Amino acid sequence: MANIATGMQTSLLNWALNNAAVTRPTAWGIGLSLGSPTSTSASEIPVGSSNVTRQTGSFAPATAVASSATCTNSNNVTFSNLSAGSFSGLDIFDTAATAGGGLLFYGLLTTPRTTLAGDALVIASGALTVSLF
Amino acid sequence: MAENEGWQAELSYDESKIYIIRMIDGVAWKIFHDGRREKVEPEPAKEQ
Repeated sequence: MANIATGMQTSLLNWALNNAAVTRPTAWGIGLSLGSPTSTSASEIPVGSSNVTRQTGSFAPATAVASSATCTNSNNVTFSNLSAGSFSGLDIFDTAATAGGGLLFYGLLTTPRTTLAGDALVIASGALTVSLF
Repeated sequence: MAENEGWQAELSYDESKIYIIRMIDGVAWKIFHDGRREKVEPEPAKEQ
């Protein structure tokens, strides 16, 4: 499924269609990728590489819009003091830890952002919307 | 979407809210995807 990690696909199906236990995340992390993330690979930039550290994300309750439902980030996500690079993808994880956890959703930025050393990349509140349809 | 294509998620963005902060000659600027720049204004001092 496009932009839904395999672990999240399993959780969605189990939550909806049977009684298998599904553990909800209690915190969320936003990571950057240099390549194209897939349902089985976050393509995440490792901690310390390009100075990228996964940041905490939070999301407002879902809203039904036309034929889809959406959730939008409710905090400013700032990646500080980056190295020079071109960042093309975003990953959403089920933990606020800087590594590990499970990938939930992923996608490519509409416009990759090219940084110089020392730049910060900000994803402000309301900038990121996850839609399920 | 056809009935049998299954669920899909999509990440979409408000490009005006995603920006780089870069120091240029000691001044912090927001740089947006279209090249537009906006000076970062200091936070107003909080009242005591």
